[in-house]
Amino acid sequence: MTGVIGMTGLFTALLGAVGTVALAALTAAHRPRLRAHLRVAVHVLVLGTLVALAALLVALLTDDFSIRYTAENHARATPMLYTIATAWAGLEGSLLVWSGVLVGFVGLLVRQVGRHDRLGLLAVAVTAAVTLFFLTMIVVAANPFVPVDPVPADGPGPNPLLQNHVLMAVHPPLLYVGYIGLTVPFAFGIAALMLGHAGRDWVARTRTWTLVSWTFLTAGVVIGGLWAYEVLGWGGYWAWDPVENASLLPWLTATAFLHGAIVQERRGLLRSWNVILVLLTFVLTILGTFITRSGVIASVHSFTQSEVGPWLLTMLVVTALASLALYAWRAHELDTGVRLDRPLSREGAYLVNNLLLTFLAAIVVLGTMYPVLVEAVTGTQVSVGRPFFDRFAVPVGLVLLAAMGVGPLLPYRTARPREVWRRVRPAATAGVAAGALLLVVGVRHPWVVLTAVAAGFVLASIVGDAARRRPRIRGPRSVRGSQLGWWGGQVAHGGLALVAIAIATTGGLSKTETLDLEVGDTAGAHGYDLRFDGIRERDEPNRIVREAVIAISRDGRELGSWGPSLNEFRNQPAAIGTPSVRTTMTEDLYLALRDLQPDRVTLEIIHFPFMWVLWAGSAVMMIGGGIATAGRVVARTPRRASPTTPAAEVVHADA
Amino acid sequence: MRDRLRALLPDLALVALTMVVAATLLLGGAPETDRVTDLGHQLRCPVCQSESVADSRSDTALAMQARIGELVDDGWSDEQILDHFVARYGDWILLSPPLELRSAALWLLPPVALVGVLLALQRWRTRAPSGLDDDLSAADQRRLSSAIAELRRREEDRP
Repeated sequence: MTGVIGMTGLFTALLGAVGTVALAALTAAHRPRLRAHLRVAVHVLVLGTLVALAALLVALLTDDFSIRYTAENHARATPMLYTIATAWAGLEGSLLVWSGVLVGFVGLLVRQVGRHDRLGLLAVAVTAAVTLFFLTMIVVAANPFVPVDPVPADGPGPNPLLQNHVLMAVHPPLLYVGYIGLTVPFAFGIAALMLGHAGRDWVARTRTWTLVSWTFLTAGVVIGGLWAYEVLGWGGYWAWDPVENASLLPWLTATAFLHGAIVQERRGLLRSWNVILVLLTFVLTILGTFITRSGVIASVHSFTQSEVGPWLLTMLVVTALASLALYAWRAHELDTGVRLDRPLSREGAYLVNNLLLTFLAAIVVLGTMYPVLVEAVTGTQVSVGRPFFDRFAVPVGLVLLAAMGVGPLLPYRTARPREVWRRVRPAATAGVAAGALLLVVGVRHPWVVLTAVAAGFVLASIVGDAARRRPRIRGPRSVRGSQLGWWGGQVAHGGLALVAIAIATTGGLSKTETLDLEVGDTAGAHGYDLRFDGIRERDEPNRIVREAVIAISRDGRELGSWGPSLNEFRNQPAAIGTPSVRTTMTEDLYLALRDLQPDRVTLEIIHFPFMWVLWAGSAVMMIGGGIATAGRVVARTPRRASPTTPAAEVVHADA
Repeated sequence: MRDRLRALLPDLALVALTMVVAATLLLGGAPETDRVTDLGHQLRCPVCQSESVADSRSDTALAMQARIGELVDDGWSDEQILDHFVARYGDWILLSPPLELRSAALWLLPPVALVGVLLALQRWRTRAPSGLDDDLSAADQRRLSSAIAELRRREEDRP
């Protein structure tokens, strides 16, 4: 029964999507009266999607194994939280949740679009067209509601890795909101090309939507790293895995756009480049979806196993080609003729930022897709992993970091080198001093010292800037909004500097030791004494947890006991190891199981200095995104201003 | 003379500090690294999905890591050890492909792309502004110039 309801919901949503696309396009084509009908179509779309999502959840929560998705991804023993998370743990469900988020964005977007707002109406049409694609793909190639006959009594449950940690319930939804939200800027980009105009209104709206998505995307990427750290147990948070790269790619280009958009709002530069960036960002999200959903990466030969592979590949090619063609045809209409006055200026710094971020994205695309392309063309296998990515990403990242300290100190249009040097000098001195301090303490790792110099420079530059210009709390909304935007950016920069420090220290200064312990044995590692107190076994509904009880002490003082564990999930062949981490203000002690026997354990103990800085810095970045988004909301001018009154000139916070 | 020296003081301090840091980094000798782990990071674990030998906890990876340890103890060079594994598994085992025909594009594309972008940027910057300015008729151009001049004059008159 739930299957039938779910299918009904899906078809209703399809109908609503078709209606939304058609009505939004027609309203934009000078038929403003249809705007009222557009509202109805969007309601149908939202309602149908909600019904389908509800049917999926109800089927999972009521152990209804009569539909394919529950039969393949759910088990009666799965706890409630992971049962809900199962909705996005499998291919079909995750695509349905994907569509649900996208429909949510259509609903939000359409509320801000008036009957004469052609840009907004076209953006609604494009977003709804993307929704239509995903819904069609679900119905045809990845339908979770296909009935199963005979109905099984129980299922295998979700992938063990996905029901092993509570973060799995948080990470995908956040990532989805960020990832899918980038469809809206893309839609605005296409709309701008169609209308042949990407002016003030365009960049303001696109920037706000990108900012919201960027904040969620940052959260999703970081929490994904935290999940890898807490669950996978290989002792890291980022492996340059194709799936991770897929989430990083749109983040890089969206970040580039957020900076390019400022230049456009202030100086009218980079109009068509910004359109390229939003189009590229969306193409990269589709590429990422293709990488993660089609199974193409594990091996080219698993391509046929997934039915959605060809769909997504078609979508990727069509989107890329259509964007490119539309751009080639219309971009010249966007050009304002404004050019960069001097490379040494705020605009120049933004340009450097955009260049490096896009270059980094190109490197990541190349490294991720190279093995696939080589295997497809020559049939031989090559691997591209961390050594390749690090070789390019580390230097480019350091230059970006240093540019982050200089850029905000530069004035617009043109700067005198002497004046720039005077502004940069205190912060640069602080940065070099930070590096010298590290050397004095005995840290000799070159990348760590260089990162400390760059990050110290950025942090000092931000603090100096904050001391120089006092935040203005009064004034018109536009001023306050602009202020919030500036400080949001500075806070995000500070967070990124902290993240850079953490990446360098955890990468360059972490140490690994391996211990072999019999029950009752004590051995030392990283200055601590570890004692193996035996195995504690816990029977949970969905798994059996076998935990090695490790008592940690230092200089005879007991610090407590930690329990890296092996988790055996019912109906699943392999046991999953889960590490255990002791976090303090100065370090993380990371315990991972290599081998667990009843009377002996082999442990890998990794020492990460100042690991918490990574998570704290990421949180600061998200707060920065939040502040900047708040600024956009505060500064928003009334939307239905008559076209004859020019927009109020915005007084910006920056000098 | 004295004042000028004093003005230069912050610059000199920064330059001196930078030189000290750079010299310490360059001459202080590379930090001792764990060769076995470093080599493990360059090899792919053959039975895992995109994990290095050093990162993986699979039996194969552990055996390979142990083998690297033996070879290092036997006095093999890094290159010899990597070659040893390439001979067994093929180039695929290297996480960073060697520079050869098959992977030439991988290593050459990034620098080429960077140069290309810089050239494009240079062209964009120096290209004569098309668009608005050119579209103005001579009369409009004159009106615009006089309006700007008027604006400038008023700015100057302001107390």
